Amino acid sequence: MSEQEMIRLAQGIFEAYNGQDTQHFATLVADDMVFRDQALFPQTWDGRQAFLDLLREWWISFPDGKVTWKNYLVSGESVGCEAILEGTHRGDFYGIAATGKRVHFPFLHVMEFSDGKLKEIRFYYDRERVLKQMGVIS
Amino acid sequence: MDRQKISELIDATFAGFNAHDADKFVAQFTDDMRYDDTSEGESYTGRARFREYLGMWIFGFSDGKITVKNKIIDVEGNHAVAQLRFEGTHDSGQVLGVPPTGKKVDFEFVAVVQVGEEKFQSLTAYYNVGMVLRQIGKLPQELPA
Repeated sequence: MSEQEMIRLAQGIFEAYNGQDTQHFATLVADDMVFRDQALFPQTWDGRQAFLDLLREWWISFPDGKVTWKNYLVSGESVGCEAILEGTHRGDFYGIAATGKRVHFPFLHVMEFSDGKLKEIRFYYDRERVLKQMGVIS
Repeated sequence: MDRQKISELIDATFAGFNAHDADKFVAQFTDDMRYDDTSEGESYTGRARFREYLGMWIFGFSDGKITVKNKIIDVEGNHAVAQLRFEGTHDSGQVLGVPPTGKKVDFEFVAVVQVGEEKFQSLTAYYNVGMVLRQIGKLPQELPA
């Protein structure tokens, strides 16, 4: 894949997140893709369906959640994306009932591509910051 | 700066960490470098201030080491991402306000560096400080991760 193709695909991932568009997502990711939440290292979600199920959970947690893309880096078949996610905590978030609080946190995705599809995401962010914004910890 | 040089500079930076040599670590950065900690929401300007901050991580773990797992080096954009793993025993200094606990700490994080003519101009770190606090016992285990 060319760098431009990878960037377009990475942008498509964020657009599909913001649009809560699972059908679009399904066309962008490989069947055997792996999602790694590095804040919960070494926990992983294996396969496209597991990833889509996780996304639905985040959309329940933050129905108005929006990702804003800040910066990207490209090399080989990898893209590093710096971005910000903001939204309102309206539904269960890993066992934490809705607080109605706004969350706003920076994150970095390392995305790996192969054969025109997304193969892996490593999601780096500070979960403590999210819990603080929800008022779960001080 | 070419790809090879950027890669060497990344390796030298973390070799400085693994040698517990703060001067060697910060030597790869410009005097007026900027550090952004996305977890703490803090930014520090200047190599001296960065060195002071780093002390907690370099000297708080007698066996602390950082492994460079992967690098994404974007030569055109003059920046790079280093995917990293920190492992160490919290036995030799205060970390995040917590005195030595003897607990093992192990987490993955990333550093984004902006590349200047000869050195790095900035470093932005993304990591889950909650995982560190949980591993050293400052946050309860039963809290959602």
